[in-house]
Amino acid sequence: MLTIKNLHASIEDKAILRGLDLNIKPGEVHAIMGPNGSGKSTLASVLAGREEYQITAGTMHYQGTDLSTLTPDERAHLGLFLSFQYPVEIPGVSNLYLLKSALNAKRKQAGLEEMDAIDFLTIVREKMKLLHMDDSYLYRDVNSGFSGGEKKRNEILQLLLLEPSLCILDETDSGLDIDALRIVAQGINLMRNEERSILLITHYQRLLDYIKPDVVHILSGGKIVAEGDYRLATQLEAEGYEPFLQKKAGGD
Amino acid sequence: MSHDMIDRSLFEACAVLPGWNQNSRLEAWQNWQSMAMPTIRDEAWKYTNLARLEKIAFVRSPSTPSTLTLSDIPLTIPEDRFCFINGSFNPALSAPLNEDSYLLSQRAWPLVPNKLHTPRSYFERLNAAMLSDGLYLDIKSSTNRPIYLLLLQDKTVGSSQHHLRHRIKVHADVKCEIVIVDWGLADTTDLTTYLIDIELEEGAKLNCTHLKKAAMKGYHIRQTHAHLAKNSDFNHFNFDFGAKLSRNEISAHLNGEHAACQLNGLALARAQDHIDNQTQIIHLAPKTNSVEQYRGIIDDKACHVFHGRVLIDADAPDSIADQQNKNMLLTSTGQAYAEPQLEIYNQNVQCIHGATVGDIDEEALFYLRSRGLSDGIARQLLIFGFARNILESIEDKNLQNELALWIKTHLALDSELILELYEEHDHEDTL
Amino acid sequence: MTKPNQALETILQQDYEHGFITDIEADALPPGINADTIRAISAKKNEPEFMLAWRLKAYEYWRHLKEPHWAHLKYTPIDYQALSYYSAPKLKEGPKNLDEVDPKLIETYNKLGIPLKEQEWLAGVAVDAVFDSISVATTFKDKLNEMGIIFCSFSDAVQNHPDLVQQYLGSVVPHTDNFFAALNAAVFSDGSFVYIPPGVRCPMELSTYFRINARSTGQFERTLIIADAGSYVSYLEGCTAPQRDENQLHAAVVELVALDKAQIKYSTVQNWYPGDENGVGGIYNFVTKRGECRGHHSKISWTQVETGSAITWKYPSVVLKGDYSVGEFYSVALTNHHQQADTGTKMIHIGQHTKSTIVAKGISAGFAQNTYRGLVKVLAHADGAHNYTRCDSLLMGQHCGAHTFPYIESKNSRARIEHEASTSKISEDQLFYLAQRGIDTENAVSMIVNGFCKEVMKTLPMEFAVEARKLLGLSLEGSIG
Repeated sequence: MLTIKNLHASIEDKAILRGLDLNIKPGEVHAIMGPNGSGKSTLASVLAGREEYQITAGTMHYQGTDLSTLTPDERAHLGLFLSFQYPVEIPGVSNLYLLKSALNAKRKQAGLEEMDAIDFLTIVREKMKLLHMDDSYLYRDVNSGFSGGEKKRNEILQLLLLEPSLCILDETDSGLDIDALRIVAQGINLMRNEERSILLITHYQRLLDYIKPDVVHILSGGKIVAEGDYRLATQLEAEGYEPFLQKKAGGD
Repeated sequence: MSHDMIDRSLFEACAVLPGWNQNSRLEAWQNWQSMAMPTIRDEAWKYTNLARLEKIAFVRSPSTPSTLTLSDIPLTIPEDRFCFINGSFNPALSAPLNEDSYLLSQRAWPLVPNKLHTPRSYFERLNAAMLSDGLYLDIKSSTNRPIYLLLLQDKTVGSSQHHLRHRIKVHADVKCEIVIVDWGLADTTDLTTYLIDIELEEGAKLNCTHLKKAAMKGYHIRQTHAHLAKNSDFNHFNFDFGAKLSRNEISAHLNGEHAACQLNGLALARAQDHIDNQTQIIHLAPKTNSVEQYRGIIDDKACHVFHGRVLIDADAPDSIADQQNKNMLLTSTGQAYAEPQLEIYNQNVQCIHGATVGDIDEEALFYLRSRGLSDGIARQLLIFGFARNILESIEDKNLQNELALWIKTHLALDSELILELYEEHDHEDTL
Repeated sequence: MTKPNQALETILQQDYEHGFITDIEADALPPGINADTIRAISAKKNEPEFMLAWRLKAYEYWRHLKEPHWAHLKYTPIDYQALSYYSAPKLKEGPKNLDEVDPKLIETYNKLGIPLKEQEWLAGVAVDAVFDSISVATTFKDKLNEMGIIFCSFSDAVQNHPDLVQQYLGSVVPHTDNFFAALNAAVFSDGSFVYIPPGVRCPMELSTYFRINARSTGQFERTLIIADAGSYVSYLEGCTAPQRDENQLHAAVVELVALDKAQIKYSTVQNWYPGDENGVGGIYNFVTKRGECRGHHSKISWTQVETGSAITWKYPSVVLKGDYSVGEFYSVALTNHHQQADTGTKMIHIGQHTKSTIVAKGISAGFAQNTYRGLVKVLAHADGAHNYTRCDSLLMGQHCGAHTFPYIESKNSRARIEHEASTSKISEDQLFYLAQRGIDTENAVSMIVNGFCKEVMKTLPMEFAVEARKLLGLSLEGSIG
């Protein structure tokens, strides 16, 4: 699904990712954990194609395609979805309009007919129910005046609707209370299947209690410093990042 | 041009202090003579009519020594002060401290070439021609106490006129505070023009509070021009307690990156006062920041004009500007004119502005009354609260408290009640 | 990978769609203006004496005026003696019905997408089309006649309803109002006239399309709409002009009168030729539009979507005379390339409890300068008057400008006036977010721009809103998804 080799990326000549390797197979759930400033969000941005970042070395292949040649919307059409840590507000544009445009843009790309308003509403309402969202969400402006939790739910709603093959969830648990976290996690778990891969980017173990990852990676200084199964997250929660960081320091 | 208001003999009788360049004054006089007085057809004077000014024949300032004392001003005036009475420096009431550290020379600004600003407008030229005195404050080291500049007008006989020009230069990384007090006791129709040039070098910070309680029948026109270098910080607080015609023009030029200015103002216009505030903020460098908040409380038959221009040049990306003008119009005979203007030539900016004119907020009034306050007290509270927002932007707490009292007295508010509430509120703030 | 900025630049380079010229023989006056020109126009139109007298008075007044230059606009001076003040498509007599109209004209209007055919009745739009200076056809006249509604060309109104014309002409915008209004009063050649009788709700949108075709011609049309007590009318105005490398002058006047409890909704989609991407050519649009809420509880609402013209100078205003009357102004002004717009409104509160709302959205791209200029004036007796103004500017690109010049004048403490304005740009974050959802830059820009204008667009009648959305798209990009 996703193969990253020796990825180096920088912003304004400041190197953030320094030789990151990652391999995600279809159906797998991976978690990337790391302290602040370790490059977690940079990885998400680089995968989605944010242009402020320069890739200085290494490769990223998604379903065999070199991602670096694609624009952000082309990546989205191929099924790469990023749930933003800080979803952007777009005044005047209703959520409904965005959802419909996004879905139809994808369908058009896949050679499918555009969905009409009624079919669309039926589907979107169904998904909203799963996330305990009421109808008013649809008619509000995209993320404008949404609380932190509402914004995150809105991201997951888009995820459910667009049914991507690779879901990158950047700090989706931040700003959520425990009930909202459970609902969001349920939504994500619903998406799990044998073809779809999920990359969870998180600072805490909390989210991983709800979404069990197959592999946990620890990111520090722009590269993966440790890998393991779910128990690694538990260990991390107990011991903190310190032992891993030292290990990295020793390795450098 | 008919310029009967200032006769040539007045110009010729002007004091010539040692070292002054008489030629440039003559040039200014001729330039002024060739100009017509602005009328309401001029965009900048649309709401302020000067027609009556031209009918007054002004006389010389009296040469008899003034008997004014500091106790005539209801304000605690600390040492470190410079005092001018009727347009002339008054050594008796002045008490400059640390003279070496910041004062280059008093009364000597014309000796210092000023590249920043050339007098162009009608009153600037008149000022340049008729100038009688001025102060050059060259501030080279930070002070932790304010420097006071007292511009007093004693009672005179006939309609006299006074013209002062001051220059303030704050050196790099110097932080200081200046309080300017315009205080007029005359009951005649006087004309006063003040021109103040301010220059802030890199990293300098100046807090300047300007209190103006001009003579009631006076025509008082003041121009302040500030130039801000990189990383400098200019905070100007303009409190105007009204006059027959009080016009305050201020411009801040944000010339260097990260320069920041705050222009706040409060106009308290009552009786037949006419207060005209004209502000300009020119962003000329990247990442410059301006905040402006002007308010007017208009009672009786008074009038407040606010014209605020914010310009963001194409060379000033990533700048931020916020301009707000609020007017509380208390009577149906008062007038409020507001022109908040944004001129933006760069897309990478964040700018907002707003203006309101209205009476006391009925909902707030109802809320207070439902909490048991009488209508009268609730109104006073809301009026004072409206003024207080500006007052609180002054960093100097002592000055803030003294001004609060001035405002209460001026607006004839029940001072004890408000003082009580004010203190109570302060207490809450500290919790 | 295409940078969103580059993509933005590309889609900002769009061509004018209505730039064709119709080859029709025109009956035109030679260039120049003097009292004889005025007489000739009046004679050609076979006008009654009062009209000629009124025109001459206006001309005499105009002659002594200077062109105003207070607006935030820069343009080469207009040579008023080089313009032709009358150009009419050659017809033997006025057309009795659509069959008599030159098929080339019909073709032009079809190209413009104007529903001139009777079948368009279903669309609920009655159309008066003004080609150069002459009104060529008014559809559905009969249907409207049955209800007592008069909807005809101004020339017809002068012939058939001179009393109404004499009573109301110049009563809202007198010939002394301003330079361009004076010129219009002197030389206007045609326009639309509407009268809605008391208590009648006009069952369809009335619509006029204006088109300048001939070269070196000024277009000076005049519209007068009277809504009698308790009536309602919604009126639409559209404009296009061919692509020419010279500047053409358009100086129209619109007067609206709303009597007691009457309502007028006036919507404009202005798409005059804006000039090319280097600022060559384009229409100079100097228009005076004003409505008077003469009666109590009357309401006048202006909605404008301005995407065309090289220069726009236009302030649709409402004089709120009647107690409890309401004035509204909703505006989208989009300027691209070297276009300049200085536009806004005036709300004059005279009556008690009068209310006005102003929502202005300015979009500036390329080298364009976009200015909102508005006056809210509350007179001493307008107790309880209320105004709310919101102006937002959207800047796209490094060389454009957006300016906001509101004037607030209040002489009443029982009045409440609020003005807010903001400036924004399309952020990289917004474009990236939408791209991540699979929406390309072109569509994302269109989505954001339409979102930005939403408050105004929703006040347009449905079929007009679709056209306006499309226009916004065309002026900035290829199409709207």
